[in-house]
Order: sequence, then C-alpha cells, then structure tokens
Amino acid sequence: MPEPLSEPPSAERIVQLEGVRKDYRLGAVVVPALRALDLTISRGEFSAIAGPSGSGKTTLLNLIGCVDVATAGRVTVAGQETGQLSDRALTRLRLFQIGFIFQSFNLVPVLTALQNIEFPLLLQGGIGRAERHERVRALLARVGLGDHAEHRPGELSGGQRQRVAIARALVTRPALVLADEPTANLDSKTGGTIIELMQQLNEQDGTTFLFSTHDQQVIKHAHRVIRLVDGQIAA
Amino acid sequence: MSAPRGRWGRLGALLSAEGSLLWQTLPVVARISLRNLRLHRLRTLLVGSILLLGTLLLLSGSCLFEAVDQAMERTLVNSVAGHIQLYRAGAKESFQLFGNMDGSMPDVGVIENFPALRRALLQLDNVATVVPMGIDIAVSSTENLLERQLAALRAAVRSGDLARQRALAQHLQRVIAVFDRSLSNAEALIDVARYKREYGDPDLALARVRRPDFWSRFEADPYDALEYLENEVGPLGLDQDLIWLRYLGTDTALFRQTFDRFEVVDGTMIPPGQRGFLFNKRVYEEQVKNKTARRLDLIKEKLDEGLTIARCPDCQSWIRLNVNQTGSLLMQLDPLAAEAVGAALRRELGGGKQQSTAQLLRELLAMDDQNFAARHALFYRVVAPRLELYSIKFGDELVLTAFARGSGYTRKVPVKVYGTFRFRSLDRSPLAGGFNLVDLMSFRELYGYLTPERRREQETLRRRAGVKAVTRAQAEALFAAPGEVVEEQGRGAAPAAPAGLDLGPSTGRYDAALQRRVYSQSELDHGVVVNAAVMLKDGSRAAQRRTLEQLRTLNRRLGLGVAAIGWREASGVVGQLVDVIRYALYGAMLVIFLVALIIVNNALLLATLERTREIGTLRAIGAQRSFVLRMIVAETVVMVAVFGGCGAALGSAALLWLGHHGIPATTDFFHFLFSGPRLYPALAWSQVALALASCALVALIATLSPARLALRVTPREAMAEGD
Repeated sequence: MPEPLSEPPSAERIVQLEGVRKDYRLGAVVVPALRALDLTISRGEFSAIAGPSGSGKTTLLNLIGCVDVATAGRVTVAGQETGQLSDRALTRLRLFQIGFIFQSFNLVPVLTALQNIEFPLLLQGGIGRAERHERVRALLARVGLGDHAEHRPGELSGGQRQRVAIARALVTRPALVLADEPTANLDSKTGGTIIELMQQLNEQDGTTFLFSTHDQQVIKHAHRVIRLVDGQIAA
Repeated sequence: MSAPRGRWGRLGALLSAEGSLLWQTLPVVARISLRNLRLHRLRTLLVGSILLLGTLLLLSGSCLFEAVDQAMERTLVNSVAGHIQLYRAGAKESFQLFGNMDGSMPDVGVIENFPALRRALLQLDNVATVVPMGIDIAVSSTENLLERQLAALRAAVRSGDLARQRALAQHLQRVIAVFDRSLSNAEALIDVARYKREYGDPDLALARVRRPDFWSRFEADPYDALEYLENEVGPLGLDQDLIWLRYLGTDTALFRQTFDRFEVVDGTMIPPGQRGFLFNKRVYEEQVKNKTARRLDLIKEKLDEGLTIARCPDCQSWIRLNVNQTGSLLMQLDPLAAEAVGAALRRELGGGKQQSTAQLLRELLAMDDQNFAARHALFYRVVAPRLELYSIKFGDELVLTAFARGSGYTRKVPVKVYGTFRFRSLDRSPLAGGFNLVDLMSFRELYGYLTPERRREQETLRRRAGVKAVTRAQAEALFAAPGEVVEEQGRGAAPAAPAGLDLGPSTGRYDAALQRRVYSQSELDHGVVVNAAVMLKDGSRAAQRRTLEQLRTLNRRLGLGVAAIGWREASGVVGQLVDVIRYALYGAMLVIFLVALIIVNNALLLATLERTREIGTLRAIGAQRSFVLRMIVAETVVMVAVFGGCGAALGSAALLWLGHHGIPATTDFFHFLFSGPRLYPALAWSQVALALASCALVALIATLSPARLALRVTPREAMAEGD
C-alpha cells in the first residue's frame, strides 16, 4: 500500500485546502468538525479519505464538493475559491467540474437508468439529444449495463444502481469525482467490483477520484490514503 | 452565496432566470412531475379530486347563481318593480315594494305631482314608461253562511221557483236551528255580554224565528220575512272570513301594457279607466275558495310534484280535516242539492240505500293514494257544482276597508270584482305573489286622498255649511268676523297633509254608476300616487346604472323631489334574496377553497418532505434552485390542468345538459327563485375561465410553502447518511 503523500510532486492541483476549519453549531454548543486542515489533491489521483465515524470524512467531502463552505480557511476547487462564490456559481461548479457518487446511490426513482445518467447533461444544456444519448450509451456499456438502459432504479440490483450512479457522475467528464462511502451499502464482492470499476476509469481517463471509506478492502485500492482523526489529518 | 435580496426577490430572480435551459429541461421536468404524480397515486387522487370538485362547484355554482339572478331580475322587473322605482324624497321610511318584514307597508309619503314627474322622466332617452302606483293593505270580509243562504233564498223567491224556494227555506230553517243550538253551546266559549254588545242579543232576534208560525207564514209574505232575517238574523253568523288583501293601486290599462308577466287568469280585465278589483289567483284560491275543495287542490299539487299521500303528512292532515268537516259542507247544500249529491255518490261509491249523504260525503273524502284521482274528479263532478265554490264571485261587489294614511280614519270603498290574475313565475310564491290589483281611483280613496267625486261632494258640503278657504296669513283677520266657519288651506307645508287629503267620512255604499264611470287619463294622472315604476327601453345592467344616474341628476336639477332606487333595492327582502344567495355562495366557496388549500398544502408539503433527499441529490449534481422550483410548480400545473380541467369539463357538460333539460322547481320557494317551473342555466365561458383561474390560484397558493421548503433543501441532504 502506498504511503500517503502530503504534496504530490509536479502535478496540477485540482483541490487545495489551506487552514480550513469547519464548525457545526448544535444549539449553543459549537462542535468543531475539521480543524486547521491543509490538503492538496492533484489531477488523476485515486485517493481515499479514511477514518472512524465522526472523524470528519463527509464534512471534508462536502467542502471539496462545494456543497458546504468552510467556517475559516480557504478551499480552492478547479481554480476557484469556493468561499467567494454564490450559491448559483457553486452549483455551476458542481455541475461542470464535479461528479458525485453517493452511499445510497441517490438515483431519481421515476427516471430510467439512461434518463438518470442523461440528467446532468440536460442541466448543462447546449448538447443535442443524439450526442447526449451516445455519451450515455457509451458510459452504460463501460459500466457493464448496456442492456439496462431502460430499467428504472427499482428494477436494478444495488451494484447495478451504483454503476448507474458512477456513469451519472462521469457523464459530464468532470475534473473530480467524489464518492461518499460508495461501497457501504453493497456486499463485499459487489463493493470490490465497484471499486475496481472506479479504478479502471481512473486509469483509462485520468479522472480524479476521491472517496471516503472505512472499508479496508477499498482502502487497499487507493493510491493515497488521507487518514482523519478528530477533524485533523493524522500524521 | 450572493448577497440576499430578500426571499421573494430571490424567488423572482430564480423564476425569470435561465430561459433557454427552461425549454431544454422542460421534458425532464414534465417527466419527473408526471412520474411523481403517477407514483403517488393516492395523494394525487386526493389532491386532484379536491381541485376537481372545487372547480366543478365553483363553475356550476356561479353559473346557477347567474341564472337565478337573471331569472329573478326578469320576473321582478316585468311583474311589478320596473327597472327603477321612485318615491317621495326624504320619506320617513325607505320604500319596499313587498312591504316590511312584519307585513306592513312602509310610510313613504306620496308623490303629489305625478304628471310633472312623468313629463320630466320621459325626457330621458332610455325611459319607456312611468307607471303610477300605490301599495297598501285592506281588509274585507266574505259573507257568512246565513247571509249566503239568505241571498240564495231571496234569488229563489224572486225567480218564482216555488220548489226551490221551499227547499231552501227548509234548509235555512235547519241551518238557523243548528246555529241556535251552537249559540247556546257557545256560552261556555265566548264572552256572551260582549257578543250581545257587538251583534245585539241573539235570543231577541231569534225569538221571532223560533215561533212555528214564522215559517208557516213565510210563503204568504216572503219579502217581509226575508227582510227580517237579513237584517236581524244574518249578521249573527260568526263564520264569516276576514280576508287581508295586499293591493296594488295603479293605472290598470297602463300597468297591463307595461308588465308582461301580468296576465288575467279567470274573468276579465278591469275595463280601461274604470274602477274595479282583480284578485290575485293565489289569494283567491287560498282565501276565497271553499276550504274542502282548496285542500283537495293542495293534495293534488303535492301528488303532481311526485309525493304520495302515504309520504305526505300535510296531505294526511288535510284529508282528516276534510272528513271531519263534512258537516260544514252539508250545511251549504240545500235539501235538493243534498239529495242529488247523495244519489250520485251512492251510485258512484256503490253504497247501500240506508247510507246518508253525510256518510257518503265522509266516505268520498276519506281518500288514499289508490282512489285519490278518481275521488278528486268525482268531487268536482258531483259536489262542487252544487256548492258555492268561491264565496266571492266575479261581478260581486267587495268592500275594502283600510286605514287612510293621512287622517287615520277607516275608509270603506266598494269595488267590483272582475276576475283573477297572476304574475307569471311569481304566482306560486307566498313571498311576492300576494298583490291584488285595484284601480287608481279606489286606491286613492282608500289611501285617504280626494277623487273627483269626493272633491265635488265635499265642496257641496262646504258650500252648504258656509265654509270659506283662508290662508294662514289671513287667519288673524278671522277673529274680527265671528260666526263664520273657516278651514285653513294648507300650502303643502306639512307632508302628512298635502292638498287633496280626504278627511271626510266614507260609507262604503256601492254605487253602480260610479263603478261604471270611465275616468279620463288626465283624471287618472292628476292625483297622488305613492310610488312609480320606471320601465326602461334598454334594460341591460349597464344601461340601468346609467339611467339611474341620469335620473338622479335630473331629479336634483329640476327639484322633482323624488328618491330613485333600482329594482333590487325596491324589492327589499325579495330582491335581496339573490344577494343573500350570492354571499352564501361566496362564503361556501371560500370555505371550500380554504379547506382545499389546507389539504392540498399539507399533501404537497408532505410530498416535498419525502423528497428531500431527491431534491438534495439533484442540487448536488448541479440543479439550480430554479430547476427545483420548476419541478414543484410543474406538478401543480399538471394537476390543475388535468383535474381542474376535468372539473371544468364535467361542470360545463352538466350545465349544458341542465341548460337543455332545465332544473325542476320542486317547491314554491324554488319556483319563485327560478322564476318559473324550471331553471335553465347558461354556460358562460368567462365563468369557466374564472373557475379554472381560481383553481389554479388556490393550487399555486398551496404550493408556496412546499416550494419554499424545497428551495431551502441543500445539497448536503443528499449526503445525510455520512458522519
């Protein structure tokens, strides 16, 4: 297993966190989730965030994924400092630069696999129907669901659903794919194939993957493991 | 996040943003909305059926209401109200065509110079006719049984039909005997001392009749006996009916020309310019007709409405009354008639020879659902022709008694009864169908104002008594000339005593020549009237408003001294019934929409809460808030379009069907409300649009809070399972 690298040499930085702090307010009590965190993710990385429950994995992913803003410090994603952006701009940043894979797959139940994957392209706009469908079908083939385009999430197994979710995350050709415990709701065998698929996509396209997990099987596949303990990166 | 411009400002910006993207994402938004609606069928059906029902109710309610309003307007305007009513300005009470709630007529003074008023009003382009009127209440009485029997006997004596005379005399003797017995029984019930004071001592009057030789000598000198009976015995009868009559005094010819809902039912119209009285058909039936026959009519009406006697407690009680009151029926039949009725009934009912006419009548009147039609026909074939079916007949004189407004004296005015009339569509309504019609002259006399005859009569009296007219200014001088009788001549100073007030006594004596006299138009016009109905050429609502305004301006400019009100206001409670219904409808609609709002709002709120993760996911993968808003609104729009559309379509279909077949008026109230036996509602596209718009408005208001909730969902919700 490779050792975690604090600074990838001579690579383009896709994510940069400097002195980032994130506090949550629970009534009158302020709970620190992340404390003075510095982190850089380079293009093409396949990295894991590991740590026990409550260590701040999801908070860190939220900050990088532009779905939350830091209490203090600076978060830069794809060259844009997220703290300075409006909700609208943040949404656009997510739409064009980031792909999401969720623990519970989070597919739209009323849409077919194809429609679910096509959805971000529709939001981006400006892409013709033929091109959209071509891109979606190609991706479906790559994740091994070429025959399931018209199936709805309810008609697919957990592993198949996560493959659809992966395809949806990749369809916009994002700079960064974030996956929050992508194998937590899958059995270990399926989880293994999913992580292998992600790894394969990383290797073939150079897409940057960052996923949180506490599954040792998954951590094994990561090029780099960022270990969080009490909101700080463990030395 | 950008600087907030306020919640609504942001909402507006979101709604207006992303024009091109809107079209591109529209199919997916529609697809998500439709699939969501289909996925949650139960909720969709619940919310949908509320929207459907709301739209259906609003559409049909407003169209039905509009139909009722127009029907009522047509009926009221064309039967008696006209478009505009005029009465004296500054009157003590406000004018009410149909009287106050307690049944009295409001005191609104009088219009003194009607010809000038009419001349002025006819200058307005839109005024077609101005009809003088006066409405008040009089009392009259029908003859009692003794009096009617005496009248019949006198007719028989005069005709020389001895057999009939004997039969009637014999019958009268029996009626008087029954009356005599009932008087001695009555001592337990009535205050005898007071009765004697008012009617004379019945014992004294009857003493002569009780003697056996009274009847044995009757044939020798019937006129003498009749005179005694008519003067002394007849008035003792207690069974006369007092009839309260609400009457409308008017220029009868002009009235008939102007109001097309007016039609003579039986008899003839009062000849133009003459005095006379027309009974309202309903009043005539209810108050003047033989009670047994009237009750049979009422039962028949109920059965015609689809009821059965078994299911109609009123009918059962009428039948019981009829059976119990065969005695009074029998009293009206003289021996010859009673025998004929008995024979006919025995034949028809198949009774034995030993059955008396009374028993047969009881059997005839004990009706049920099986035999009603046959027995009803039998009654009218056999019994009714031998009865005096109406106690007042056409051609009879009727003495109206009323309190004169000016003086407070009772005035008795005799009028000839010409027939009956009805206002089409108002005839079955006790609320507004109660007018009887009388000529303007008789009205003025009853109301206490001078007619040409009364004026002449009083002038003669004054001359004979040496009365001089003086003005107030000359009054001082009068004290210097004692011995002269003077009368102050008013100069119209006090509205309660305008010129032409008739303060003399009235006798109520019937004068056939007076009844035949034809008054000139000028005589009809020159005299006081209480109110006037203005009929317009263009009766549209806008024209009504415009003309009313013009009329008021003219009134101010020329100092006509009248108050002008629209038909609705003039019709008081009756006209305002429509307003009551209108507000009830609005109230019901408001409640329905509020309930719908709450239910729809809750359902949508719940739906949004269930979809928090989905919305969060969409936001995380790059959907703007505007997209989320569109998604929520789209569902509402689809529901409004589908269910509101269905409601509007169903309502339209129902209204078209009803417009063709009509809604039957099942009760007198509906008969009045519908202005006829059926209401034909019209489908108005403006109402369809209004109903759909209201449905959409309610649905969109119900979507506001769910939409706000959806807009507050952050992309973090998608990650909620994490830490």
